Amino acid sequence: MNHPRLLALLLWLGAGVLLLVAATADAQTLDRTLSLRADAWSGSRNLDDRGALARASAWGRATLKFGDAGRLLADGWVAAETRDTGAGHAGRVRELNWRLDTGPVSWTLGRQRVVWGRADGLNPTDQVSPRDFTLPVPEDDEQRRGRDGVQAALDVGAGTLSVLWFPRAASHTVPLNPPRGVDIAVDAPPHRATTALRLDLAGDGWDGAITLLDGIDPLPDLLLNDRPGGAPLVLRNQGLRMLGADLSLARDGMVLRAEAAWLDSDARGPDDRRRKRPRLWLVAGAEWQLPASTTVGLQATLQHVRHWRSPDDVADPLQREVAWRQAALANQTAANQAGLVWRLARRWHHDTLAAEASGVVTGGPRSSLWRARLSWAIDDHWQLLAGGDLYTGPRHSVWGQFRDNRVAYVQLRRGL
Amino acid sequence: MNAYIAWVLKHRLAVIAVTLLVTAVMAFFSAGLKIVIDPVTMAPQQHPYVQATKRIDAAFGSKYLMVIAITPAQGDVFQAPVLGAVERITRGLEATPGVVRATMVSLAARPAKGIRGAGDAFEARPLMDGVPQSPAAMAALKAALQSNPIYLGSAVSADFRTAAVLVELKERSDGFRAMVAPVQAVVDASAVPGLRIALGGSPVYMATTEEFADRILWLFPIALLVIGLLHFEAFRTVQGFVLPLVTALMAVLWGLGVMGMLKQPLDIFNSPTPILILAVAAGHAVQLLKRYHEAYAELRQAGALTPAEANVLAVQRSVAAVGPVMMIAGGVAALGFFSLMVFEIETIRTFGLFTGLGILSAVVLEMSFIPAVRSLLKPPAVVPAAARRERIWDRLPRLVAEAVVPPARRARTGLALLAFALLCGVGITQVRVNSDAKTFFGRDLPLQRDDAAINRALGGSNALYVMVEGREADALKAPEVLRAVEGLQALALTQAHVGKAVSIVDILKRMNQGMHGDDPAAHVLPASRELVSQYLLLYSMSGDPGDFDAWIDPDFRRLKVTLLLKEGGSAHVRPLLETLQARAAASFPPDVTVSFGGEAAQTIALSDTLIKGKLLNIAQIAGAVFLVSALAFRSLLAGAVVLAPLAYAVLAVFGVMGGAGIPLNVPNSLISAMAVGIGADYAIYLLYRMREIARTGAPAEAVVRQALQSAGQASLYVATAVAGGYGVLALSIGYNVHLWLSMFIVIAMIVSVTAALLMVPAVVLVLKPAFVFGGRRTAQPAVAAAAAVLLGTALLASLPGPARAEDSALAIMQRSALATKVKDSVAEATFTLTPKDGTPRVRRTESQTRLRDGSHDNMRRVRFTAPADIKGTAILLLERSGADDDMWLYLPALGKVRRLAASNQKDAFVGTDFSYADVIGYEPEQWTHRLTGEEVLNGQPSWIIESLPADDSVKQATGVGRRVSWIVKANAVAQRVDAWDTAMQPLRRITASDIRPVGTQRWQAMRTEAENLQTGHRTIITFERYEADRGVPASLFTTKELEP
Repeated sequence: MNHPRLLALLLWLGAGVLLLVAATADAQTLDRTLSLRADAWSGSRNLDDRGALARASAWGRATLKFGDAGRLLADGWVAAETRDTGAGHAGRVRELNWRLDTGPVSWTLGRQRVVWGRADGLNPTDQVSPRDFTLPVPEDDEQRRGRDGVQAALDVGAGTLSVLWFPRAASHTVPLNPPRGVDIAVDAPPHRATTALRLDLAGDGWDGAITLLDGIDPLPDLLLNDRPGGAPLVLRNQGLRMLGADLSLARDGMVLRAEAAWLDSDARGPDDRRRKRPRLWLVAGAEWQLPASTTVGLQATLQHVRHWRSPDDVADPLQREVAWRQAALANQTAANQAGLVWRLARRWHHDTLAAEASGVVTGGPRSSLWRARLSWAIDDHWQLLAGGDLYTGPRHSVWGQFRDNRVAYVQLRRGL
Repeated sequence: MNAYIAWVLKHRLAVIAVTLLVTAVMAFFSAGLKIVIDPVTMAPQQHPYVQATKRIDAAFGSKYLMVIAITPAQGDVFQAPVLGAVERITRGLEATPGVVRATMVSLAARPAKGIRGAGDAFEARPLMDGVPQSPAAMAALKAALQSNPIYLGSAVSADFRTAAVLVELKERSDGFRAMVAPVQAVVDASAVPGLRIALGGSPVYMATTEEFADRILWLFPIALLVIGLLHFEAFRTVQGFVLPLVTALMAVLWGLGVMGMLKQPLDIFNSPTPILILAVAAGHAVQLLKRYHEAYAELRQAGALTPAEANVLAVQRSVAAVGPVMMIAGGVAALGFFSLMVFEIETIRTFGLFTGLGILSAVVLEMSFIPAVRSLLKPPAVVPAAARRERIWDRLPRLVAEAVVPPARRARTGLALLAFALLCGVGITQVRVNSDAKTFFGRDLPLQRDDAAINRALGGSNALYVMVEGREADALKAPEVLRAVEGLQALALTQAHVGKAVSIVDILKRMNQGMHGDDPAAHVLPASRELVSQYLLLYSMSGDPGDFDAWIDPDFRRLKVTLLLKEGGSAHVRPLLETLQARAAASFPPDVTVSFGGEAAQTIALSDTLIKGKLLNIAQIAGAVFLVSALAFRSLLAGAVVLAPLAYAVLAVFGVMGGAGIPLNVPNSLISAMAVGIGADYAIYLLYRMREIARTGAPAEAVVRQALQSAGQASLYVATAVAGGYGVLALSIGYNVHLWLSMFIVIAMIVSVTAALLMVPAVVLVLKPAFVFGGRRTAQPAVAAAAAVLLGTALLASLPGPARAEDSALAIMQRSALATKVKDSVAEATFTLTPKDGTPRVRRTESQTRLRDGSHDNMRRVRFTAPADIKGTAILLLERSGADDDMWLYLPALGKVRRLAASNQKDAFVGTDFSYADVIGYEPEQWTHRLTGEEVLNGQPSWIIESLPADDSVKQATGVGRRVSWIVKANAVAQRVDAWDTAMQPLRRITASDIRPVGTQRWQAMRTEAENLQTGHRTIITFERYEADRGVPASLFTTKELEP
């Protein structure tokens, strides 16, 4: 058994011991929610054209508190689909962790979701928790999975200093549309831990954080398989180092949000096309709360890719095609890329009816994502959601590569 | 005085600089002054009729009736253009903010249904289901109207020549023009050629009053010019033209500035007040200027001094001579105006305060700034006496002297004055109180013609409401109560000027008739409660549930009778009310209450208060003038002598008012105070001058003649200028309020100056009083001035006037803001959200609060525990005074904490009917508060406080244009708060109950309800658990703690 696996096992064992300890504690309160959902989708998010699908799922979340002995959090879902849209779409434990406060330090052990970033929609610093982009769910964040690890948060007066350690790498699940007859292998994430240090600070009217991270990039690279006998293409997660900062400010009725990250990879020189290039990514903008429960958000996104080389420089057609796909997947289709993120949301009838339209437009080459969503809380238990995604742009662009994932959906939820 | 004026002249540049600085400060504050035309400020709030009107308004939304009459040039209303216009106007008004939809009456109104017999039952059908297109449909409509007389005289005239839309408008504090404008827009959009559309009702009159009151904007500069020119004519110097106006303008500015500092709004009835201050201030300036001219001429003719030396000395002598008397006269006048602050009507209190402040300002300026400036100006040219041509200003005092000095003529003059007084007395007996707004306007104005046309064709354009209240549900189904209502209506219809009486009784009678095959003999009330219930059930099968909203409340506990009157004046309404009240007392069971309200009843309330207030006011001013004058001259006789010309002015004003049939109303009620305030000056200046001359040893007749040529002549200047200034208001053609003011002030000036010039010398010559000839050193100006200042301050501080009310109201609101601010708290609450016609939604929360150290800002964490779809959602709100609050939201499904913009105080708090501002609390200092009354609400004696946003930014930020709070005296908790939106439409009502002591001398309402008055949606917050001062740690209020 390798070292990280051993550590992960130890973590789970530790959580189990703590659970046993807590089970004997006096104060136990269980807090749980259960959401039963029935959805209809015009298509999957797998870039296929196999038509509509229906999906039934149950989402549960429970917190068991043991007073001073801490609390146990479990979060997960199970689902059934009219056709299989991807591995792991039948169910998942998203979180199962123990939190224990010991003086100024708060410990979280086990599977946990870590969501970073104060910008809206695009978060350069959000590099810990993997997501399954193929999962048909109305909320982006519902695609997120937890990672097994440990987090220690130290209260430092003006903020919190957190140290995070995840023994195993984790990967996003990304939709792929391989050329006809071409298989894509998915490499298991390498055995390398991810370690992060984050300082969250808050003052009057502002809050922000600085983050350092070293580990494996959850977004895999697409490359020609260098291992003989396998599929010609492979998805592989590779090294990532990040220095990031994010900030939000409240001023004159608006919230200013900014987030920046220097994302360094294991790329070995300008000609290494098998890995992402190091890049600087900045997202900044404002959000206004207008009368009548209306929110308008507008952000700019800017990215500079170091030592960028055009895939067109590659002479071999197959390699060129793969280079373009990798560039699109890694959001590195140009040396410099600018874009706009917008969101317009409004609530009616005492927050029981909400509508949201949002989008991203990025350059180099220009592509965009447009989204609309309507949610209606019919009563205290039933909720109806409807919406859709629309992608535009050339096939080898950031958003255009997902053109076949345009989708409309409707979901009925029953809360228990 | 000499030492004082010497000091002023020595430091004249500093005096000028300081005065200009003060003026700049006052200009700054006056710039923030608001002209508020709030109907609430015009009605005596504690009067039973006003209270009843409020209750009726709350129950049925009925207060301000507007009538829109549509008459075709030819034919009757049964033609498509007429009915099309009715349809368009009705639909347009239904969609217009500020319109009470439930009570709208018209052929096309949704509740307007015709009842007709149908077999063994009856059915209700809309009178118009769209515009009838065929002759048969027109005939059917006509038949429906003939068989449903409830609509005759209201929705259509009895001769079918005129159709009408009767619409009731919601009260708003930003004036009647804003109230009427949306209706006018709908009417204008619906007009077609061949139709005459007339608008009537009190909102139309009040809106026109506001419009005409704006004329003061161009009348004021003309008045300024006229007064300046008259002064120039009198003095023939540039100084004479400019300086009195400078004093007057600065006094107006100072008065406005203090009003602005006190955050005291102005209203339409105070718009001529600057002209009054202008006139009075100019009057004092003229007395001083006249004396200065005399002193300078004397010094120059003596020949010993250069013009510059003579100028400074003349300034010194004139101020020393006139200053004391100016302080007496100004003090007396200011006292007279301050005394108006005992009035219950706010607009009159404002007038008293503003004018008193202006006059005191004028005295201060004349005693400081003007002498300093005058000493720097080039002195006037001196015309030798021999070279001077005798002018009218010289002849008039001489003629007056001839009328009073020779004993025989003096007797004749006395008899003439007596006869004049008797004549005025006869006129006074004819004075009638009438606050009907119709009398404000010339009869030839279009709105008067429209109103007359409406009253000829329809039941009337004035509404009087009768509310009948039982103690329990269904109380009004009792046949004896319904019969009593029927009898009351029948009696009303026999009274003069009552054109229509409508109530649920008429509908029940028509139902009964329908049940009996439309037999006319069956047009009687159902015989039993059970029948009433059955009829209503039957009606519900074809009618709509809201059809009776205008007439009866859903549980049959309160009903409203609407009486349409052709005249709304108190002279007509008072006897009607007395008759109806007598009948109601005799015919209704003892457990049923009958109250009378509406605009017509409010007019009576205004008149009642006016009479009481006016008598009190005259007695008060007379008492103040007498007392201060007597103290100043140390003689009771002097007090009487000063009072006599004023009595004549008041006699003349009221005599002419009665004789000419001019009504005594709010604007006219101010005139006697004006006359007294201005008129007292003449006698005081004259007496003072006589005493001055007598001290030189001159014989009595010479004393009189010289005084008349000096102070008397100046009085004539003043009276002419004031009369001229006010005469300008006569240019306001068609607006009687300005014409009356113009006429009465001119009369008051002429009579008071004439009476002063004739009576004061006559009395002095006959009685040779010691205070003139006795050699006492001097009068006591400080007594008058100090009395004015002290009394003014005392009135401000002790009376239930606006300034004092504001101060105490702010203190109460500050206490109230802190009353519920515990150090920290832990709570569990249930939020029940109930739509008007829907299923309640229940949300449960657990929350913690903690005050930030050393501040009143709260930190607040709220976590939802139910229902399932929002369970676990948590909000962290950190209040920050003077800056945007910090706010974060945690959504468990996303696992993410997100900062929100929290500065929209007007937004709903987590989707409830409470706004964030309601939860966080309104900063008391950002609002202007006014204590409007007291009431025992829910058994708790409470202050009623009206709060208006201090500026537009507060209004926009909170979305609230006005709040009225009922603050429990015992604990300062707001047990009810009514809020209006920025368009002054009723927005929200918050009621707090089960108020318990918590923590250390703090309180918490365990049940709070917020109702959105525009949607009917309600939120009730009930605390199942609330514990205060538990030592909640500050570390709980971080974003990290939002996560589970």
